[in-house]
Amino acid sequence: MRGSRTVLYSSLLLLPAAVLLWVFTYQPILTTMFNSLYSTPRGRRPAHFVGLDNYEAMIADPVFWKAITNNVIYALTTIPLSMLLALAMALIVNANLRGKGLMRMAFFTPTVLPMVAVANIWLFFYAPDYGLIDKFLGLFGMGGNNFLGSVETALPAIIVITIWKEAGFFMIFYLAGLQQISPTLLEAARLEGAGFWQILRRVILPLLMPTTLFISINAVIGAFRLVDHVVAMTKGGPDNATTLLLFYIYQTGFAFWDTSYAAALTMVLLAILAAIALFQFGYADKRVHYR
Amino acid sequence: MARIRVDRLVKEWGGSFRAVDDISFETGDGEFVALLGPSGCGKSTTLRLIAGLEEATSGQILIDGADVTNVPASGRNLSLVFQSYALFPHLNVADNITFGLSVRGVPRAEREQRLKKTADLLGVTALLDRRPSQLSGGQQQRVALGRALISETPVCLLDEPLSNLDAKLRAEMRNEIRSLQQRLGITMIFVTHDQTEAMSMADRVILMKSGKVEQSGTPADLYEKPASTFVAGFIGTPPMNLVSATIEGGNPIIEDVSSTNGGIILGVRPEHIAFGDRGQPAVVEGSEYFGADTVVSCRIGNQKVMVRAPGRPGLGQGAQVNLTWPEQAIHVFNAETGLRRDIN
Repeated sequence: MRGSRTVLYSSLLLLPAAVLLWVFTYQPILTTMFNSLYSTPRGRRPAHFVGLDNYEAMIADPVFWKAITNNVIYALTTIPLSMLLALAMALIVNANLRGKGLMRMAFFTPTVLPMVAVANIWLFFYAPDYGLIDKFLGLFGMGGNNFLGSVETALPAIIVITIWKEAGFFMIFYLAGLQQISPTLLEAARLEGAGFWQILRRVILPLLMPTTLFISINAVIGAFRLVDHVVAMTKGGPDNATTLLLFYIYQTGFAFWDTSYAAALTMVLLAILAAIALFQFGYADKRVHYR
Repeated sequence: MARIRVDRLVKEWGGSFRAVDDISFETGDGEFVALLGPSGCGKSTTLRLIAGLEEATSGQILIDGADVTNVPASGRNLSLVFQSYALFPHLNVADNITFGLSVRGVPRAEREQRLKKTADLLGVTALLDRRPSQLSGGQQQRVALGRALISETPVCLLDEPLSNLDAKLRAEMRNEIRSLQQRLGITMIFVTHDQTEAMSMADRVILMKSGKVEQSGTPADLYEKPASTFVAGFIGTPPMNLVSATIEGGNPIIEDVSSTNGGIILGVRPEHIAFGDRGQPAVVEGSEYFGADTVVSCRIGNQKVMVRAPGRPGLGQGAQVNLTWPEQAIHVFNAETGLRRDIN
């Protein structure tokens, strides 16, 4: 009697969380998976089972492959560069320097700004002829660039914005990590004759590994999740040069209304993220030293 | 081997507070020196100044005659054991001990050989693969010592090396550090707030108070000839009894009330006082039994006097006793300055 009461009681306590998780996480995943196996309903034609047709179409879809390639390039450049920059900024801001409060603020500002606002600022920076960057290059006779308008420079331009925006955010984590390191450890290393780079490599970086792992997970998720600037600046153009996977899903689902193909694309994105998360927690986690 | 000389060293914090206030001392070759004092007296700062972890405001630090005041810590050819041990948590014991050697680019073969020697010396050979978090406090202490000793520097500094150990381990490490120092013949300066530690280990004790050196000498000097009431009250367990007195006809007369005007401070160590048939009358207030002896607290007027008596004297509260002490056990201090003076 008593046992079943406890079960009832604890189930009731778990119910609200379980309902929310089911409604907003698991049910959508299942629905998406289900939809990806059906055709998109149109007008009087209801959806019918098509098996793996959507996935076969995907393999033959050049835009899908372009989006994947773009996203891989985007992730492989933005993640390491923004993390490196974040670490450098955290080291500067953590040092005993004059005006470090001002620097902290300056480094962190891009994070506080909404991505759409950032995109508009950078639209002006990148504008041909009268934009900040082109005007500056014009002084040296190298003007006339349309950074967002040409296939070669559009993706790098988006990458630069992402690094600029993300580095400040990651800096906060690195700063917190640095402040966890006992100053006597650094003194001990200094006393043993280690210079700045040796202290960085042998003491600071190993002790920051948990932070680095945490940031890298966030960065990976961000690289596949953050497409506001693509929407605001290039809409994936020119010629799909800036189409990232999530943007392509958005376009397919809400511009072309091909919902079942979008569902199939979503399943691929989900699989990619799951694979990365498994790698990070399964492999990298074991190699990280936690205090 | 090395001598350390500190000359008129000053360290100011924030331009006003003097943590180290114009101190000078010199250590001998292979001497074991204790920097002793209550917390906040500037002893740790002095050690950090010698190590090169703090910059001196003024004054000089010389090691073997060479001025190292402006030499960075790594160039001073000394090692330091931190109070918290400062072991690298991500490295195992072997890597912790050889950290300095590998930073300085000592070849692997020599590193291995010196590691083996040091690990044997400190008895940590079985622990070389462990992480610091898997070690007990005493083992961590040994590893920290190992990291300091493997560099084979002629000077080793220790900041409160025993403060994080339990009492039994502390006594053990006390002997061990002392014997290591003697075997290796290195100059050691160690900081402590524990006078027993300083007295039992050091060749010389430098007692500090408020950033200044109060007295510097052998443990026996500090015990037998304290330079001031502060030294007298700091050294010994329980510390020296200090009571207000006046001198009449060359003999000190203890007053009923403690005062600082005019008279003197009379000092007698508890272990030099005995209960007798005649002598200074006093009233017993209580006692603490330690096994081999008992510390009896008595009152002369309103002045408190501790007596260390052998065994169990069996005196209850309120008992009337007479206290006697040999004439040579008397220490006399100036009541106003607190400094030692002659009886006449």
